[in-house]
Amino acid sequence: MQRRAFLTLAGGLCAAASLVTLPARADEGVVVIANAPLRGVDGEAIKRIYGGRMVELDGQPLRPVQLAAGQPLRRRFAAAVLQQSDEDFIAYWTVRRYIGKGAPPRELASSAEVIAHVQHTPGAIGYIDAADLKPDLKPALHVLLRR
Amino acid sequence: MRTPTTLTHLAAALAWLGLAAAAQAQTPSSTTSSTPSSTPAAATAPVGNEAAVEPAPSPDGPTLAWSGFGTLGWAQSNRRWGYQRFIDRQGGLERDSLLGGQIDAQLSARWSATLQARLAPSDRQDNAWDLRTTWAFVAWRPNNDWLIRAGKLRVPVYLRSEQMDVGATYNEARLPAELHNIVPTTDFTGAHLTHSWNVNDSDFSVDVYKGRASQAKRVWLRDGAGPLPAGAMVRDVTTVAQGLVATWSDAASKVRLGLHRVQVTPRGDAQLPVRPAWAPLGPGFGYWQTSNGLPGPGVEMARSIDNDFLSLGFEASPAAGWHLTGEYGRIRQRKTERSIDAQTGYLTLTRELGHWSPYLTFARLFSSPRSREWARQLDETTVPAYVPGGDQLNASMRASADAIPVYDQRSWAFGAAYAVSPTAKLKAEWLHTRAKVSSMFDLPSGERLFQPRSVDVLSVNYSFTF
Repeated sequence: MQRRAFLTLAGGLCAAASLVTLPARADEGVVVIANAPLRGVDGEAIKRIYGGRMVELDGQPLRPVQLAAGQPLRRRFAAAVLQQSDEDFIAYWTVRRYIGKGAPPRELASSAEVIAHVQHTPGAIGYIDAADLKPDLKPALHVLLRR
Repeated sequence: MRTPTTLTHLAAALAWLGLAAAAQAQTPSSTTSSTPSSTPAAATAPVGNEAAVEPAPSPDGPTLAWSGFGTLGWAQSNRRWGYQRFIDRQGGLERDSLLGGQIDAQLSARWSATLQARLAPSDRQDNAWDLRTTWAFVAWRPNNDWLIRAGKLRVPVYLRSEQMDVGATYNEARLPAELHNIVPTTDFTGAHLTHSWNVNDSDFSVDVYKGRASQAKRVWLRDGAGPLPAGAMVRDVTTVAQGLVATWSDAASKVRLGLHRVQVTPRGDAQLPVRPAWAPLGPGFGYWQTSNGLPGPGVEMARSIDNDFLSLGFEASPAAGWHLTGEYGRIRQRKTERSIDAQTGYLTLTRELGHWSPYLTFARLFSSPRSREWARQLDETTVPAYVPGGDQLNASMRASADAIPVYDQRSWAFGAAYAVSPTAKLKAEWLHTRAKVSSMFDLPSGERLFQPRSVDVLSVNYSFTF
């Protein structure tokens, strides 16, 4: 299904633990959350982070995590943010791993694990469904999907 | 003679692993941390209710990710003699089958280590398999721009040199032998520095590397010569490789230029003849002296060979669903006139049709006129039978001709890959090679080196990662 992505940077988020109210309805979008100051980060930068080509920002090492392959949200994230299919993303990392350029982002089982991981890990970046975004989280990037 | 029991066991293991890989195609790797990422309570806690979410332990400790790869491949030709070591009329698994495993350890935010081992046909014996370490390095990535690796690494000669063993990462049944079978070295133990620049939506990187390796160089002797029996002969050499590679890439294309120098030195005190010397034996006839152990005026010897290598490659998508890959290589000799000196290249056009990727490849490899002329002179010069020891002199020249890597060959390959999953491919290919001369042919005793020949090869592969 063709989806258009609109990226909105919430920005300046590291210090604030509670904050940003974003529209959050089920199936409305994917939110990238981070425990890092993602000033100036846009969708292209997120692609580079998940592709292993950006590993730090302003001296802060970045640690992206992702959901396990096959999860619907992971597919939506790949299409909307990485602008490729999840199969292509897996294939990309299969090559990258075997040319000695590292391993793909660590996989977590659920959005709850992603949230807990990001909240407690400096430099961690993850994505969740916009509907799962609560005021006590740290949204870094909000991706709206328009079907 | 091959070892059927070993092959059977290997085939069974590969088949099992391949099926397992297909079954878990959506989870291509496993990552474990020294500290678990979360507890079941965290996984089931209401999202966003921080009080209910079990705090996840810090993942700053080392993490391990393991993965594996393999190919179960059958290749069969229409010739009795061997092609690319293993392909003949009997068919066999040895040409393409292998099994590998890799561990990636993230030691800290900036330090990591990788270890890869591969079970594959031995470089030293045609009828044996061995387990070799193919990657073993520590990597330091201080920021986005620098990657510094030290340890055992692959030489980045061609676009896909570093992933050549992982068939699931490309569509061809095997990468063109015209390029990949002639590199003087594939591994090195040393250092590899990469600097990258991100320019708009594209990346530019420069790689510099240097290191050494112990290699086994195989030569096929049609006939025995003195103490050397006919058949495969392996020479131990030490290589010192260094190079500079520049790569530009964006989402749809890539261009890569490499300059490499590989010094090859025989193990021990052995030396290499620079060029044969003409030794007159009588009025109007003589022979080419190739060793100072044979009668004649003496042969100039060198302790090592220097290979200069230029590689240029590109990948492009001229239209949606179409991919064009091409590479060119020029390898030149310094110090001797009897080692490989050749130009090579290939073009592959691939069409993506859903899970199917049919492709067509044309490859060409030809040695310099000087290399071909030396091989021809050595192969076709004969000492009359009435000369005492003439048979030995003739055998020495034929063996020396066999030892020169000399080619004039072209190949067409038509095949298709079916993506069973993102990490597994089933491939089939028909390859047609024609050559006026090719050191990839294991010719039987008495055959002339220079003679038009052709060979057709059918290959079926299943490649996977898990």
